[in-house]
Amino acid sequence: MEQHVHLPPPDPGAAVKIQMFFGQGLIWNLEDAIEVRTKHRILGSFIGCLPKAPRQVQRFGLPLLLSSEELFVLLKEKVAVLLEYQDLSLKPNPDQAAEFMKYLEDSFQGQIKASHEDKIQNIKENLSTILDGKRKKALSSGKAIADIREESVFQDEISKLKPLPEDHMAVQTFIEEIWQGRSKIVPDWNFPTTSMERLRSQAFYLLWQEGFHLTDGDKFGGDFLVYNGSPQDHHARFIVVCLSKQPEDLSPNEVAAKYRLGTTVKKTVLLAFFSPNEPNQVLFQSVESSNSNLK
Amino acid sequence: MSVGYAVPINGQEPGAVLWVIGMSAERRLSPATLVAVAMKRLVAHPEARVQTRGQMSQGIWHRERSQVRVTQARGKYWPVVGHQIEGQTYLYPEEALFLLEIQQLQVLDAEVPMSVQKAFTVMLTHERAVLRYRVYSHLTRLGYKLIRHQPRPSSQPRKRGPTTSPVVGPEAIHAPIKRSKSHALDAPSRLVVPVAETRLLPAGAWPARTRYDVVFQPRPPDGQAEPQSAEPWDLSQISSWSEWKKNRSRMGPINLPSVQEIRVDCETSGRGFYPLDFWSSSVSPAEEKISITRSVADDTSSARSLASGALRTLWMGPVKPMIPARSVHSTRHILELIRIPNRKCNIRDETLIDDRLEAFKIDFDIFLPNVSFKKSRPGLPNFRVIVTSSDESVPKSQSLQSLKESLADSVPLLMGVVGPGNISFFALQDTSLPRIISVG
Repeated sequence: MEQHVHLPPPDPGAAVKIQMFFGQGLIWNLEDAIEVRTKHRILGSFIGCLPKAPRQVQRFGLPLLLSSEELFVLLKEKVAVLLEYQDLSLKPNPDQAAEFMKYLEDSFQGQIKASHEDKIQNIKENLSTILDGKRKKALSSGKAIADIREESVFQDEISKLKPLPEDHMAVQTFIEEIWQGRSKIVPDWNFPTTSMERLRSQAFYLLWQEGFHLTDGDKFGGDFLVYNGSPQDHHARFIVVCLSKQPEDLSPNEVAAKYRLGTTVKKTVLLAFFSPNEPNQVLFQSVESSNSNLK
Repeated sequence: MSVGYAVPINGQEPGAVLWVIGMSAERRLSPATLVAVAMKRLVAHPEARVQTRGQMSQGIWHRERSQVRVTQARGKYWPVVGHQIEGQTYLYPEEALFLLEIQQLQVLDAEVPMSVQKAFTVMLTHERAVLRYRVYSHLTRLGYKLIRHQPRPSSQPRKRGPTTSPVVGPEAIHAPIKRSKSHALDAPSRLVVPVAETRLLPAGAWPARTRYDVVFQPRPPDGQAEPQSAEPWDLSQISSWSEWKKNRSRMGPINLPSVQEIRVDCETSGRGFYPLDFWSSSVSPAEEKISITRSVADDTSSARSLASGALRTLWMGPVKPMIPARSVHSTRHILELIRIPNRKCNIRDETLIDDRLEAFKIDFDIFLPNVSFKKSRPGLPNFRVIVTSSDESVPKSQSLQSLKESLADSVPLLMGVVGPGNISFFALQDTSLPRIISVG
């Protein structure tokens, strides 16, 4: 088992920034999302709609939604900071509005220039075709071809260029807020509070410490799914079900239901519960069938 | 701009990558890059939200209403989204947020466009709004049309007046309407024209009720109290409502008092019928000077023929059928009437009622992608959905029963369960055991 290393307190400037969002976390920054998934094995779920592919539910984009348990691990490991963006609910102040208007104007002027240069380049690349066309037209109308010169045609075409209209200006919609991004660290996050929340967060943390990748287990009727490696390359190995009681208090029907849950999908059901002797210690028990060949 | 590194998305798609455009210091794409992306000379990664201004709708965040007031509508989503308040178009938060995410809408707050992060923060102000938005976004991306749940239209009682030779039976559709001008002028007349239901249902419609009546009641032209001279409609050559719609302009408007009501009875095979709102969308009251009066189904035409035709002796004498003909219209209806015991629980058990009954209210009406949809008169939906979280409990049976009784139609009710990583849909429906019917 990999030794767990306690990380030093995070530098707010370097730590992953997570926005507090109704008991869960949202990551808006792409680099932070990648770091959380690759470096810290916290997968989260992308829930945003990709603007280039809006009519599908297979691929998602930012923001990255972190469950309470995932947030718990990142904060416990001190690699992330939980933030509140108090300015976002307010109107932009005059300074922020002025900054945006300056950005917009600079961008528009830059786009006019870039568009103009782009069109000039386009004319240069197609100049021979334009010249051929003009010469053919001159021949058909009886004019002298010698008057059609490359330089004069080039200047003539450039003079016809019109500036980029405002409706054609390219607009960038930012994912992460950049005009009103002032934030403060959430001082106290009240989680876990209930016994089941404590059980879930502890079970998640223990399994994460063992090197597993974990995701939510809703699809299989459990609390978590546990993978030996990246979910992209592996099937889930365990379905973790957190129990509010001891396993021996389960009825045979409940045990059979849990067993069937895993057998059908070729996974092992792990029951997680608090030890009866030590209240804060989480124990795991698997549910498997035994081949009874009684003779 | 540079390509950074790749990471799989959610582990759902082997080989799926999320490319980085620029690094955090270059969040603002340069003007040259913006132009290149807009002109599609540069392939942007899926997260890039670059769009030309002329292709985007514009709106302003209205804090008091918590909605977006639309200042410029462009694109193809407007037949479904948006509603009118005091002559202006507004968007609900889930509609605005979805359009903003797919870069069809720019929302301004004090002239500064909202980022996706800011829009999430100001438009989704409580946990339930987040769940609702995720369901809305999920189903809209699949092509469904969603609107906020609308209560059923209230039914108005039919106005009954003296009838003149009501025409009954399927053959009546081709029977000429015999009315003379002098006969029609004094009193309102009613015409009953039963038609086959399949011709009346729009393509892909999911019928919900077993029977509907549609009443067309002419109203006098504006400012005119006196009836004008009347020309009766001649429906003898009409075999379907689409044909009627095409021909009514030739027939001219109906003026009082030649015909006060035209009632159309539409029988179905038992699956139900398309809602009354459909009919009001087929006729334009402003053009035709008629108003649409909706009433609860109560067809008596077929029952009338049983009661007055050759089988009328069945209802004479001391021994009669247990179920009168006028009460039923399908075999299934008959079986439900004679079923023992009654499936409804007559004892009001408090333990079967949710303490949080208010939490289980319907969030959205869902329409199939290929169903003809009109925002002003959407009609009965194909589904309704209650949005809930994966850590909430399943609604109790009495709660669901109360909810279904309040709706009194057979539109399926779904539970949209939102988990951290995915959204699932369940239906909790009553089940009846099959009956084996043998003859003899």
